[in-house]
Amino acid sequence: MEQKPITIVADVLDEKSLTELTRYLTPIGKDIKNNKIIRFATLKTLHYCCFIVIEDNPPPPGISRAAPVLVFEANIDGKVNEFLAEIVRQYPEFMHKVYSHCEGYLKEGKKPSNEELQAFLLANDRGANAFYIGHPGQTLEIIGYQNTLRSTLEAYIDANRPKLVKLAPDEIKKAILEHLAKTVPGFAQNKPVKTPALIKFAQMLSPYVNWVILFLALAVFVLVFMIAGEIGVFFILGLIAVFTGYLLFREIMDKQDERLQWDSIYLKDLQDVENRQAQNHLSSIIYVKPGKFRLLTLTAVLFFINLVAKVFATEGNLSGIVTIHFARWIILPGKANERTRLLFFSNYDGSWENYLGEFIDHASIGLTAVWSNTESNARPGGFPDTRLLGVVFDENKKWTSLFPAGARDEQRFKAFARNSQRPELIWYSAYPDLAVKNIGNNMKIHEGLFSDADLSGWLKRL
Amino acid sequence: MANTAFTDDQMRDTQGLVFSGYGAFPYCSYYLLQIKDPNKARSWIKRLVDEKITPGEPDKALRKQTGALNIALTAAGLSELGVNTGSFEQAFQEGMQSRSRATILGDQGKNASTAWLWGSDDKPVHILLMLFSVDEKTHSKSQKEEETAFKQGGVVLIKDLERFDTTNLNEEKGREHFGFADGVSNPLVEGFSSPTETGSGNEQAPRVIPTGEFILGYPNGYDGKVTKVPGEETLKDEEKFGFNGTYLVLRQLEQDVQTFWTFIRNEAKKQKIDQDYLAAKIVGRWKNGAVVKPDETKPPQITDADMALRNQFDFRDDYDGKGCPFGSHIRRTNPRGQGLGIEQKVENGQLTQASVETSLKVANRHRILRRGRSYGAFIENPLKENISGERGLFFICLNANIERQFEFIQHTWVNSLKFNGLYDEDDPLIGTYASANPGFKRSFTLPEDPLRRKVCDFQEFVKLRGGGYFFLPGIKALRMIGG
Repeated sequence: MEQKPITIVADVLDEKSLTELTRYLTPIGKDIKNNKIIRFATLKTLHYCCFIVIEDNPPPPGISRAAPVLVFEANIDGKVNEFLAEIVRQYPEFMHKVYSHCEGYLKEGKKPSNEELQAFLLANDRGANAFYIGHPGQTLEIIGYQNTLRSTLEAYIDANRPKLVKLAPDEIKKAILEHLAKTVPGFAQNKPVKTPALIKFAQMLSPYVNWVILFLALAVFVLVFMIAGEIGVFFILGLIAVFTGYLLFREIMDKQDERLQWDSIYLKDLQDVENRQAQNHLSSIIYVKPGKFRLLTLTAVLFFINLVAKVFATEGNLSGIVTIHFARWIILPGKANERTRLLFFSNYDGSWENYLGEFIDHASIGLTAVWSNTESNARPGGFPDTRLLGVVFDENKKWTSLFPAGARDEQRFKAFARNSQRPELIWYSAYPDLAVKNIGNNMKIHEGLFSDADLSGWLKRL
Repeated sequence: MANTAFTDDQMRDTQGLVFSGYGAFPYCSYYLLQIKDPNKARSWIKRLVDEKITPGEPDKALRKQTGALNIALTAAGLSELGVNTGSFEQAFQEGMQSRSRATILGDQGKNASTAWLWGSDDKPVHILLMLFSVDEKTHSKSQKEEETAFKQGGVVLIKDLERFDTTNLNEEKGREHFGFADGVSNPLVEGFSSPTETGSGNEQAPRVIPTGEFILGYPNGYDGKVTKVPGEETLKDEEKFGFNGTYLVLRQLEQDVQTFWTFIRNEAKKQKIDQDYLAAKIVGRWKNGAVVKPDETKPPQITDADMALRNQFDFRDDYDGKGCPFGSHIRRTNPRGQGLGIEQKVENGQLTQASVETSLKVANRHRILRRGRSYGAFIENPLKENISGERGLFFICLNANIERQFEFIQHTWVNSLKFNGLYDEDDPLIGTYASANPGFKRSFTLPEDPLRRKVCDFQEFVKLRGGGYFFLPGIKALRMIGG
């Protein structure tokens, strides 16, 4: 079953609504498990969700301040409308109360029915321009089942190790299988889900993504040559040259923030909600640089990242980052005289410092390609100087480090990221004690129980 | 790109502790001080800088001296003396005792700052004065001199506290209180003209860490960028207050030696394994300092000069943790060439050079220079003696970015239950996850053939008694304070 991003964005009515909404949601967020209003754990297809109010703060010079928005981010199994129907069915009071503070909630001046509320939510769902799933296909149910399987298995080994180590590896596995068949209900029927052949093929190719892209680019040229001859090829080359030249021009004109200060007014609130458990949530909002050109490059980069996430990065590893459960990017167009913004949400393992570090160490190219199209809310410009969206970089080649570093400018980038962050009012994780690596390992343990390949490798996973 | 090279003159403008743990001076006292009269304190500091302070010495002139003196200040201390701390690193400004830092460090429950002997908001520290001497006689003479001087200098010891004298465990061949060789792993730093330490990595490729990871104002581990030098924004880096300074982290860690060895004895008996084997697996090293290699059940014979097994190694031949377990203390505090989140390729029973390189590059962005010393009497046989008194480690480390270096190690490596793909265990030796999370049951996994061994349900062995984030300014900066 497929995992889907829900991003419901609704304008908050006014200052009064803003205050009331915050007052209503904050205590729920502080007591996510035991509050009397909503227990997210009863929603059996919900992995993570967050409610956040984002104010356009501080307003940029000469630009209207956008209305504060309430964003509901959810990462779910299956169909969006089914999930929305379920949450409204189970928690009508909560959902009505929350959205009664938002523009467009009332139906002809009256409180809408549950169905009408559901339609309102669906109409305001912006999904995601790019969506990354740590382990695609792993439903909440499967993740839970595989974790039970592992715990049962580990407890069995703990209790019987002295006996087991005297056996040969295949006999150890046999004893484990027998024990699981006896103790775990439905063990024989719950077979591991097979990875589709196409995804398997893409996983094999994933270390060679660069070559695949090069090959595809060449194929395009050959195709153009066959259809339009040399003129066609020259035309495309010319387009690329104009695009590159203009991009460089824009990048040279952009100014980075020379200070390295963490001066966000939200810093204290962020620290209050971070590091409460093994996982964290990151919400970031930032202006897209003005003009159509940057919006175009950003849209293209996100399209590409979405493609990589869907096709290649399907094994808990987004170009070297192994701590992301779910991440998404959403372009949020502004109304008249407002700026277009980029929203980013991530549900990740470990600390902020580690997360940002992994980004810089392993994925600075993608990161720079996205955020070099944006600028800080607080002051014009801001993102560390970049050339050609930062895509020309190879850490093994000295000359590429002569280019301005983009996200590799560690401290400037961290300050930029920190200042773009907003604290959420509610954040829920269905499995706060499982890391991406744990889920992957549990999956492999499950697969190994139904396969004879690499027995010694399988035993190491226990 | 930074082009500031580290020269002998720069070295002389940096306090000596950066370059040396002063092994030649076995006698040492730490004074935790509070400023009562800022004006007097400034002239006291001026005199220290003119007459006493020990700078870095490129030509080993240190050897001719009979002692050393260095000082470091907390954010509160700098403010008292009129230094604006607004441009210092966030973690330093907030201080180790603050709620936000405590959350990251896991300093909660019995380790919470409210229970500390010093360093909490109630008992703030302003200055750390470190005094080292070559022998006892010299030491007691300098102690008297300095104590008189700071008393006249408007500075007092924190209420109720004596000075902290350290124990010379060097006579015990550099052991720490649990009985293991200590201080064997320190990074080799670029531009230090007389490296006293060896680098991690291996003999073919010794690792050199950029100067800027440990001294402010120089290229750091990120393409030679310069870590933010605190001081007036308008000045050039070389003129700022923070130039040639670094952040100093101090933690007084009490070690419960008897509980540790009692646990080891009982557990080894229960599992029918050797005590020293179990203890070595927990630390990741044998008592003599050699890293535990796959299939070893006894320590290898090594000489003090044999650094290959003590520091110049990585984990390319131990990628499944069958020698030095993934969760062991030394693998957590410096994972070296071990896939930090990156895909690892194995060829011929070893990690490939490329896997090791990428991983080392990441690990080396989170290194610290360790400069601490032990305190309290050493116990030769912890299982037999009737033990009294407190003992432990004054952990001191130096780094250019507390959050990316010291705090990162503590949060992401030491106290993380998920380190290296593990599920629910923290550092068995120094982890404090259970204090911060009541109800948590500690465990430790030893990868073995054919099935992993597990040690469950054991106590914590280390308790935090006090701590603070300090700044170890350059000599010129100290003169700026002195006025």
